[in-house]
Amino acid sequence: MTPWRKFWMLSVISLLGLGLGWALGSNSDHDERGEGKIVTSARSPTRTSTRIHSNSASSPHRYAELLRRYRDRGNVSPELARYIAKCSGDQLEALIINPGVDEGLSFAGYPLAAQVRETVAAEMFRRRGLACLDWITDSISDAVAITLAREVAKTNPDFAIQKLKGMGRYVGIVPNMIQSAVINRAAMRSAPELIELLKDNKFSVQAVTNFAPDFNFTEYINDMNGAGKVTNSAWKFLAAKDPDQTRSLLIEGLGGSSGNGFSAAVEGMAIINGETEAAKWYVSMLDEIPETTRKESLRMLALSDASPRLEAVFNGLQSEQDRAEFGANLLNNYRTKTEWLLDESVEVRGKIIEHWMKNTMARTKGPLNAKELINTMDKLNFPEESREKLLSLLPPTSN
Amino acid sequence: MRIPLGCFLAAILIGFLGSRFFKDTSPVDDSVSPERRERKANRDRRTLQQQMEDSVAQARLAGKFDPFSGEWADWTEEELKSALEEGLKDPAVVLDGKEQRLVRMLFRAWCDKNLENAIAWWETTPSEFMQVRLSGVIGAAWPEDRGMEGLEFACAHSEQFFGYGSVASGQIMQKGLQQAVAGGVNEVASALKMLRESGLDSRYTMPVKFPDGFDFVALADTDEGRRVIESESCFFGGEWMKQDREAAFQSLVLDRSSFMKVFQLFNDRPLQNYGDTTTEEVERAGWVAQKLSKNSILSTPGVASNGALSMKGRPSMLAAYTEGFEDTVVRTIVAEDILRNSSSSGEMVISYLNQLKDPEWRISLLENTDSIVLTMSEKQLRENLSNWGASTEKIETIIKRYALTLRP
Repeated sequence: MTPWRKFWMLSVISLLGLGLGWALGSNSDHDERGEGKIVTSARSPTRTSTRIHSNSASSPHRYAELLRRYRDRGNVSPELARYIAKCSGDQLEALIINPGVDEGLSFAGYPLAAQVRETVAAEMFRRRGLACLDWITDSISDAVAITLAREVAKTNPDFAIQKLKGMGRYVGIVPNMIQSAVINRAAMRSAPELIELLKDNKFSVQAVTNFAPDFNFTEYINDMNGAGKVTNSAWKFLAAKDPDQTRSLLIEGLGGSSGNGFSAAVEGMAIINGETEAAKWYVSMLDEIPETTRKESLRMLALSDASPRLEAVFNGLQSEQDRAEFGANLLNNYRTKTEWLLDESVEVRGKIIEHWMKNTMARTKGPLNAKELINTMDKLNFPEESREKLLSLLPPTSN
Repeated sequence: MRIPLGCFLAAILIGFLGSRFFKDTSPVDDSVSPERRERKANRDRRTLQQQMEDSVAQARLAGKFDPFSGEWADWTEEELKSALEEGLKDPAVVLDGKEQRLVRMLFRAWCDKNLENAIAWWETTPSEFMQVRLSGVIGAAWPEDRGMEGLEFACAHSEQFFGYGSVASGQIMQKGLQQAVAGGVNEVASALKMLRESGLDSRYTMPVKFPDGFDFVALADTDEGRRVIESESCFFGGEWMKQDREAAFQSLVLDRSSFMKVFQLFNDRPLQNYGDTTTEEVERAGWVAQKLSKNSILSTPGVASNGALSMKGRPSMLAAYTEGFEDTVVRTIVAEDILRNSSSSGEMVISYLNQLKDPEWRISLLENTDSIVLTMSEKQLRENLSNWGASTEKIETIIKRYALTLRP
């Protein structure tokens, strides 16, 4: 073969290869679901980064994979996510200002426009980095500014906070959504980081919904000592994750183990295991905690707005004294349905009313109003013929 | 042979990498002239708009919005069940509203495949909290043509459709009531009785449509119809108003002796729907205000302001409603309440004020209304005040008044 022919042959082969390679590269992020292979691309948070053929994965694995993709992709359809990833900068700006979708359309209360806006914000941050906040001006609405700043706050909290404060926006107040992003980020890192953040900043209370797998709850609760929405979140999460450890810490009296702590822990336990199991779990601790903590926990639990929880705890309580105490506390919960108390015997309802009288007089440090007592007896549908005995317990000055 | 093969493979690699590189940078191509970029951007915007609309239309059609909707066909029921059980054990998923959506999507996918099996599993879920959270999905997936059956199901599981701070019965009630409407007045009354006896409240239904000529008077005259009207939760008030305003107003407002709630007259679509307002709705708002004005008992600031709450987020309706009140004191109190309720959004305040006919009154309201927290840019406020004809002195007074919350 002459060198000239050899050159031409190699050129043709190279061109063919180049074309083939280009075609492969262009199509590599199209949905290849069902083709039995894993495709990885970490370039864009809005792109599907890993896909696994359905039949090649076991269910727990499929779930874990699904969850990871759900967290990565920003809640919009694959088509829309791909489109957003390909938008020009101008288009992204236009889209984040006006997602162009019906705010009323939602999936269980989460507006679609917000999902689109979040995905666009993630894409703007991916491309522009911290400079994406420079684009925020007076004409940009608060909702857009906050979404973008929250995206930044997930990785650069201090910058996002200072940038917004520096702009004089929100009069120096850190918006709740930014606070929430910052607090949740710290909780996903470590207990010392969360402690430091909360001690250094005057944040209004925010709930935390996720903690790092190795988060040291003992250190956090011990250091923060007492109530607070984040501390309650910690008890709730820990009880949902590890009821046995939570039980030990509550009995030990960690961080003062206030009534709030018990109440939050029962809530967390119930959300995973159901109200009856949670009530049994709580009742099993009562003989192992001091009397004041026991009373305080019964008081806080009675304030719950979950009627099934109140019923399960009431039915689960073993001692007559505890049932009367809890029942009396329930009479002060005006928000939650407690009609099931009416099914209790006259004797039990009488004891609840007696307890309520004692608590009320102790709290007000004075005599009880007879009218108030009658209202309470009415509330519990207490029979007329049994009322005299309770009315006779009133001090002579009552009217 | 080795050389040609090597060249071929190298070229494939170069081509692949090249395409990836150019693809990622192509959206922002500075080498293209600004005009061409603009033309391309306009073209792409239209495509984008079309994509968005298609996406929304699909979501509306399916009654859901689910980024994995194209994938569920590959999942078996057993896999969905197993994934759901994994999800319900994970505190991070169960405790976070946004993450919970994934569990709801999985459950919806199962409901779409086999509603009976999905429900049988749902009934055995230990967490009452998650049962309530998932019951709304059952309502969304329930077939329209089995609406009454759905209503019976919801009534039999009333505790799982209401509680833990959420009302999940809206869609399943709507499907049942919608089917009952097709059967006439007596069927609607029976459905309402069933709801009442089970403890579910018809006020939380998603809007139900009524055919033209539906006998609302007869419905209002049934025991159950009277009950919902007396409890001021008349779910058919908005539809009745659309068909026969005088009769609806007479029955829902004038025939009632106690304080009434105006929102019943506008409940023909969800309260949180910020979509376009129809001309009929704007006109209805003005009409209601005029009717209230003519009644000495009802023409009170309390009743009037309560009505404005049902139009929150819809400035043109709010303006028509405000201006419909003849009494200037009532009108001003309504406008001030609307401003106070909208003030978290400066855009909403300006949008509402711009709909009021008298520019001087707009300025006066901003000058005199107490307790407004006006969060908007100073520049934007200045521009609007100037457009309304405010004097320089007045503009400065108003700017000073809101200085603490205005953005510089």
